[in-house]
Amino acid sequence: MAGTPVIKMEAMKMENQIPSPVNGTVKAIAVKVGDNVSTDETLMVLEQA
Amino acid sequence: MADEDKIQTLIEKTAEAELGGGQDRIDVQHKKGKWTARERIHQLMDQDSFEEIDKFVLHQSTDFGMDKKRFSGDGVVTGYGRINGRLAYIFAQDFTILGGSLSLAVSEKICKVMDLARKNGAPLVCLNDSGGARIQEGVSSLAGYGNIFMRNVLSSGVIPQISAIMGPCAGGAVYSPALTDFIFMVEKSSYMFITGPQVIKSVTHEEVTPEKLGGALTHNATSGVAHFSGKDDQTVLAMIRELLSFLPQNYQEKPPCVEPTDDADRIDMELREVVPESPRQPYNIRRIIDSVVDNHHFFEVQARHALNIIVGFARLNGHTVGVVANQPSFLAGCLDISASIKGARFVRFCDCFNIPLITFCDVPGFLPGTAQEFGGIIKHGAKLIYAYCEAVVPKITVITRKAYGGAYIVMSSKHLWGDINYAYPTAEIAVMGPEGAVNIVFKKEISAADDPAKKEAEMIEEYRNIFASPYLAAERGYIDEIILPEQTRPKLIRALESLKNKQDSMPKKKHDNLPL
Repeated sequence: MAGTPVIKMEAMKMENQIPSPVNGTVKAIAVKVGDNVSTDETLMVLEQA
Repeated sequence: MADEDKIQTLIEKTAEAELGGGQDRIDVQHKKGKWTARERIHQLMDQDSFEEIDKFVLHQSTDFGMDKKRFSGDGVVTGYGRINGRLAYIFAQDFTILGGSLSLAVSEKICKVMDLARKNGAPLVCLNDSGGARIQEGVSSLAGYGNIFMRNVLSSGVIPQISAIMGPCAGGAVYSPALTDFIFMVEKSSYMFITGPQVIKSVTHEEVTPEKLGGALTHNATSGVAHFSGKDDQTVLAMIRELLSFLPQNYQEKPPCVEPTDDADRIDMELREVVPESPRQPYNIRRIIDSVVDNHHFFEVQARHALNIIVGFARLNGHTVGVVANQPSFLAGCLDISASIKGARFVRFCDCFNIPLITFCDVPGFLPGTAQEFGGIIKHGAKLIYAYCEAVVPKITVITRKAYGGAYIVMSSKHLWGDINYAYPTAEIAVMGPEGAVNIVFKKEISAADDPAKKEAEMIEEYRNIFASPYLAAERGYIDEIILPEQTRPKLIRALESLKNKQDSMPKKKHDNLPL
């Protein structure tokens, strides 16, 4: 559902929950827990319902 | 001519002058969703309070056949009236007359009201809507702008100067608003930039629309040049009225006080729930601000720029205050270049106009990175320190959670002569967070341990219990009182009341040398 947190990201020792922007399904997860990620990097692919 | 004819002549000339560039051009203005200069003035000012001056001024230029194109009042409407019952001076550029372009005559009208505002100690409102310099007047038009800028600076810090961009504002013209205290922009129908899309395209080959280059969103969110935006003329004018309601008329007056309609002793038990248990969880500092201010009403400034710091006006027990707060839910509440500048400008404005400062602190430090360092965070961060040190208005601070390192000092600490400094029980006042500190102080113990990871975790816990708290600071008098969150409002109000006659000053100097 849109708004459901799908990723928890930590930056500057703060946890941020990233909500899904759409109603849909997670098609692919491009990262694993503990990975360091950069700006514009794909984290997850969602298919809009 | 008989006397009745003279009266009739005046009535007719007045009616003609009030049509500006004529009904056709008024219609064009309306079709764009924009109001005329006089309509804007009447909407902004208290009913029937506007006194117009210089209605019959004509430009004196003759080059390029301009003597055939004269309109009464030329491209601006000027005068004074009342806003919320108090005197204010105004100029509103008239786009229906020669595109609102600036002639020497227009600048003289504007300078006249600017001089009146300054000498009479009343706010100046500037409604910008102009195609720019009147090219036919050549360098006289530039002289006109220069005369205006000089007066903006003469009045800076003497009277509040509020600008609204309600149409085009391009080239040198943008510098007058830039020199004023606050800039409002009307969404979609206004823009400001130094060089427009056409020149940019020919010089750097970048393609950009006027809206993208200098519209309300760009300047409110990206550049931070503007402080407010509204969806149409009416909304912006209403916001200007509200802003002025918080401010004194000039630097020698205290801000106006309204009859409070909110209980000064109101406690809010929900404030105990706002700061999360885990220091890694963000929260919205607005929950605290909105809870404690009168009638939960907070007039935010620059709401779309540098989201990691919140600034704005509110009232406590009827008295205007300026609020500055780190926002933990954005960039972890770190200070960075934009936040430092946004905060410093606001603090200095409040100090100019005798507005007490309430600071909420939850800051883990300055944002790391080459972008910040190469961008000069050193000098920009210094601006915020400078602003707080320089401010002689009452300064009250509440540390809600983190206050680490230099950022602790910056956020209106006792050391920068904060008058009353409070901390919540959840406050963590330390040089740095436990994880960072432990890895420096206990480096040997950790690497010598059988289980370094376990040792590290133990040391972090120990450090947290001793240092990540408000008690060490309180023991040294750096915090005046550790307060129960639910009592924030009454505490602030009582502290404010005690400080109402505060007198302090900076040593005499020609003027400061704020790091720019």
